[in-house]
Amino acid sequence: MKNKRIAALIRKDLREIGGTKMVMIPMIVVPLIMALVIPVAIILTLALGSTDMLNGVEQMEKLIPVYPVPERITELPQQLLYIFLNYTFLPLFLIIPLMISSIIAANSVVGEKERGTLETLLYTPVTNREFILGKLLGAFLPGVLMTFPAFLLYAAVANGLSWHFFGTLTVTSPVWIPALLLLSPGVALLGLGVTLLVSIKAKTFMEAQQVSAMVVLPLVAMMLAQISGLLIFSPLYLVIIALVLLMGDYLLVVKLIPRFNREAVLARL
Amino acid sequence: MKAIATNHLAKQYDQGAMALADLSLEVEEGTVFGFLGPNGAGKTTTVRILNGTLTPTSGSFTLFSRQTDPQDIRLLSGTLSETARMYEGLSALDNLKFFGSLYDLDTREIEKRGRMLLEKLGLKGREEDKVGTYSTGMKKRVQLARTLLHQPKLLFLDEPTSGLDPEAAGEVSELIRTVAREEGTTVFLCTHNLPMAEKICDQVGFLDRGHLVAFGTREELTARLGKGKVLEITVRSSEGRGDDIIYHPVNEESEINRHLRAAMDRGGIILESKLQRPGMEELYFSYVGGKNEK
Repeated sequence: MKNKRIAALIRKDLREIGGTKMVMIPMIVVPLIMALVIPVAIILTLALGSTDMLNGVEQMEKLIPVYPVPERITELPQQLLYIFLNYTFLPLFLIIPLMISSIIAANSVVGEKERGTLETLLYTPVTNREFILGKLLGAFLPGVLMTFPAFLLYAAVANGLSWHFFGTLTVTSPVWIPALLLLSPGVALLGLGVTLLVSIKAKTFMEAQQVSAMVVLPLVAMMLAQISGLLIFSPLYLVIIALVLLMGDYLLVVKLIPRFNREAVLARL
Repeated sequence: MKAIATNHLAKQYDQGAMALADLSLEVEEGTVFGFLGPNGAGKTTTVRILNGTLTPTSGSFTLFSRQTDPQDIRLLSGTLSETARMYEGLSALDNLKFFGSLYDLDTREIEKRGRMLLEKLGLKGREEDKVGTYSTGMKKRVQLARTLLHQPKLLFLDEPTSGLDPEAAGEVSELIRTVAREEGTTVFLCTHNLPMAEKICDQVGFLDRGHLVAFGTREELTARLGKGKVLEITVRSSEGRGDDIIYHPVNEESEINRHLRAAMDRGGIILESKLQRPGMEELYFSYVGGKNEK
């Protein structure tokens, strides 16, 4: 296996991403919405309106004791804010890398088929392993790397506004550490693996994207579980989930490589 | 040395279609071999088997007298197909740098050889422009540069002149011949361009519905048909019916005058006469079938 070939594939894919609107728009718009719009909307509602303006507040009030809210936060609006910004919306920062990586992966494989360049690639000495790893990393890196600046923006905006209106910092839970460093890459890889498997068989980008979008569903379930208080993900819980997920990802990649059959792929072109 | 030697090669696809049946041929190293046949004859299937992409259903083949692993085949060969494309969002040079790196070429080497090839193919001054801005013919020429970049021992070219104007097609044909002669590259050429095949191929094979119906040099194929030279006479009818073209096989030169006299005796005016041997088109239609002017 030649790392130089994998690096060449990644560089080429990253250059192509820059020129593809269907990929660039979600890559920029989605993190911006998550990082800016959500904290601004919630904080301004609580600061300038009242807690009654938020849906389901009564149920949330009952759940406050379940969440690990710091003792320094005693007022109801700040407690709700802490729960929303650290727990309810945490899964959104797993959706960012998952969605970006999956869109890139779908575009990069199916896009190659649609543009006629996959056949050209198949005639080169790139091995199946190099091709899969190149596509995986070429999609994984932008997705995961976009998450960190998105989170920093989110934390800066949220903490800035909550300090301004409530005199307290809110995005401070240690749950973000395993979420961003372990779970986020693990989820992104899972989504990528599924997307690549689908893309190898799909004929168009839309087809690949529609199927791979279903990978988001477990994260939506996670979000609902956190909102309802059914499951509160502690840092340790997230570390365990992330490690199991990463082991599963490794097996998925190992299974994925032999499935890439040049002959079968060419026959479908 | 035989660059390519196939032994009863056959390919049946999953859907049951028999794309190739019992193909046995040999191609000498450093020659240009023309593989001709109608659409669906099995030419592309043959190329994909020989370039290591498809597995034959039965039979075997060697390249340069060795059973070669598909990975090694891809390192020593280059393939230009009708449907394969370059990255249109990248410039010609960036495309060559990318593909060159997949063949483990040094960056400086790629740049130097890439620019040289693009200049030879008439693309000097357009190296930094995106391939998406090129005409069809220019895109084809960049593809050819890509296949030649790593100096392959074996080239598979599928319709390399399609989409090119006659001048560009002629330049590409000449480049293919030069590459074979000067660099010793063996060229396996699939084409419908019979004049090009006639001009540059050392040997040809005619494929029809997966079967090799003829194989050899032009002289061997002509002799096998029992065809020698042909006298072509263009005659204007005295009865106002227009011009006719008459063909007469000629074994000895003394027969020429007899045929010319016969045409004049019929009251026609001889506009032109020429002695020719069967062209590639005539050989093709004789072996593969289709119209054959008499």
